[in-house]
Amino acid sequence: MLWKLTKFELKKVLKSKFFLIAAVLLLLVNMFLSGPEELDRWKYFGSAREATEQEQKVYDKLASLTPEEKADFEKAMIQKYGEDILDSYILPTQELTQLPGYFGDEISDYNALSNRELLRIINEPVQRFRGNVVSRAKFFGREAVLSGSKYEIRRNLQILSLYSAPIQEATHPIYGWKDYLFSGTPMLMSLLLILLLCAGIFTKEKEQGTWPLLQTSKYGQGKTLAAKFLAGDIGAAIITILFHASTLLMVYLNYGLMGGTQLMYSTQPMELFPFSITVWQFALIDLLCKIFAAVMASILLCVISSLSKNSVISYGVGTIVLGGCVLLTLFPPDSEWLAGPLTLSRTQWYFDTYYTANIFGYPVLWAAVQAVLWSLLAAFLIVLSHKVHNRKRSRL
Amino acid sequence: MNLYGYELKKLGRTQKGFLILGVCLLLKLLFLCFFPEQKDSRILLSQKQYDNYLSQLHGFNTQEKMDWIQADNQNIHWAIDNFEQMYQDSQQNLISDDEWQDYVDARDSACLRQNASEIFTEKMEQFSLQSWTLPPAQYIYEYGWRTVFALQKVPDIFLLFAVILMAAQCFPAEAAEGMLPILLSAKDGRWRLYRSKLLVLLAVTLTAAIVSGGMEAAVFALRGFMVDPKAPLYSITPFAEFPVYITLGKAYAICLGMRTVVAVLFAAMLFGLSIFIKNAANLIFTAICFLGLPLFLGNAGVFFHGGLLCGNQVLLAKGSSASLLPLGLLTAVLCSAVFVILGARRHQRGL
Repeated sequence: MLWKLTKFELKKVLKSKFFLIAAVLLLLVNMFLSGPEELDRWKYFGSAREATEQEQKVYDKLASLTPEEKADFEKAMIQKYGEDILDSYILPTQELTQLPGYFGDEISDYNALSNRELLRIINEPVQRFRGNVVSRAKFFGREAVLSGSKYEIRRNLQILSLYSAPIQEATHPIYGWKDYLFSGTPMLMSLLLILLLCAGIFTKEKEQGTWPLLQTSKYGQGKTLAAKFLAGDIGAAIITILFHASTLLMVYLNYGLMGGTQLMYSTQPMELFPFSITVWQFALIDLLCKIFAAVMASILLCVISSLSKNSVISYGVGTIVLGGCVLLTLFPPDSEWLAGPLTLSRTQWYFDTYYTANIFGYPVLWAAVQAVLWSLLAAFLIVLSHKVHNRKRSRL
Repeated sequence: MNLYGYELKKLGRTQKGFLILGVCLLLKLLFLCFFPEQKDSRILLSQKQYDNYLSQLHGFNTQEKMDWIQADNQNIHWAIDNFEQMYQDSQQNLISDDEWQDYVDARDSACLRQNASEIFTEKMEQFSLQSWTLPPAQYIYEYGWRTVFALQKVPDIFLLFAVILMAAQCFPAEAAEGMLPILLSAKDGRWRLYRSKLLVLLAVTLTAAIVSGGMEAAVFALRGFMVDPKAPLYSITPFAEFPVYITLGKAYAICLGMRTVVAVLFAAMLFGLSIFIKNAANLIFTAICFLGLPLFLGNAGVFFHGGLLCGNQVLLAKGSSASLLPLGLLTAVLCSAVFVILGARRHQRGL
């Protein structure tokens, strides 16, 4: 029955003309804004994706080379173009760009050499940054041993074990995924629509006069309330997925996607990412965290709506609460504990610096603890809303 | 009491507009008082060292200061980078205990100064990239100003929230209470009522915007964020690439002035829109979209109210082209005027 009631609630939302128009418009705006910033926003569906697909072939070829074949290639290039060709910035001369190149008719020597150079530029900072972390952890670990601080010793050992593991060098640069992962636009757009979906979910019933009818109905004892909360949560999750999927689609259409199977630490500014997770796996985790944040926002807004007298109050208070939560993600407070329920929508914060290893010694643990605490608060708010709902019902 | 007085009483007292405004301004005051200073995390670790550097370098950037910062930073790096080597040398007795102790002292001092030195090296690098045709930038305590301009990245949500709620109380509230047909059939219920409601809303918005801006400046001044207001805007990191000479104080005054004017224009636009969107909740949502979406458009955002309400976008537009900002303001004025005129005509026509 709960599922049936939830379906009715969702149907009710979808029947609202204003909601549908707002959803379509916001989705279109989100897609318009999802193009890579360095390209002209007004020139969509250009040749950038085709260029990415072409480059993918070159990187695939370079990745398939054995160390011996790689050494042969480098030797041949030195013989043909001179000693400096492997160590300097390469200009596309006629000799370098002519076909066939070393790898045949499709790849010129310029493409092969410049792509090899780009991979070196990607891999070099990863090695350097992780090397710096290891040397600092050794230094601080040594001081911790001298001072006898057990916590510091354990922490530095954890950092050492995380960052000393041999890294896998990138074989492809990461195109497109970065624009998707580090863009805050789809989440903000989703939150706007979630505000429209949830802030009026109870107050509209009150304004239409159907609230007393619902409260005196057979399933009024909590099930209607639960269905409304569930509809808000499912709606919030669907909206978040829809906006992020549309962003990914637009990035793919504009720019193409490459490097999804590379490890996350090959992506700037995530060089200090401590785990061996690929980019697409991280994108999935990131999406799950964003869905969690959206559900938290929907619960907050539903609670506000259930406690408000009319739509103006619920939208007003909802806007202030949501605005405050967004402000906390834009200007993070000194204490991470005050970062608000939307902090989990910016997953990369937990991994872009080795300082995060300070929190319980493990960055993921911090995010998980936050999620549990916010879930507990949400559960408390739902119970509070249920109590108020029941008290009002008994007064009728 | 004339129509204006009645409308002011209705907006302020009956519909609790003054209460909403008061609560929003109070919330803003609390927010401003507790808003954390946007300090570099490295300063938190080395505040004294940072203060020492600043007292030595404070003032205009010169070639001597740049050379000194560079040499100091190189010395620090040398002392820290050679630790492993010196440690091994001391373990193998290749250096004496005194030499090792001297080295340890030098390294400790370098570690202490490293954060502050890095901050000033970054500043020096920023300044070295600036055009030599501009007056030189200044080394100042910039984190106060950075906090001031950090809040200019987003519109004044507290004030605008009150304005949105007040606009939503004008005609949508009359429609929801069933008063609109009665008002339309009254003697002064068409153009005069529309004009008086609009003017009252604009007057209240203007007063609130002036109070809000003044309060913001006063709180920041009392918190000591606005030191060296005569330093060029490009002395602080977020505007290091700003291509025009303008002082920090003047830039902030432009932002506040623009906010006040555009808040009034935004209220006028919402008022016109409220004739078409009579549902208060839908009007609130539309207003939030009008405010929020232009923030994603970069420089093009200054052609919308939302963009013009952000001081940073206003300053960036001012820096990028002489005509962009007046053109953006003109567009916002025209947009508000169109909504007000269309709203007036729709109201004149009746239900």
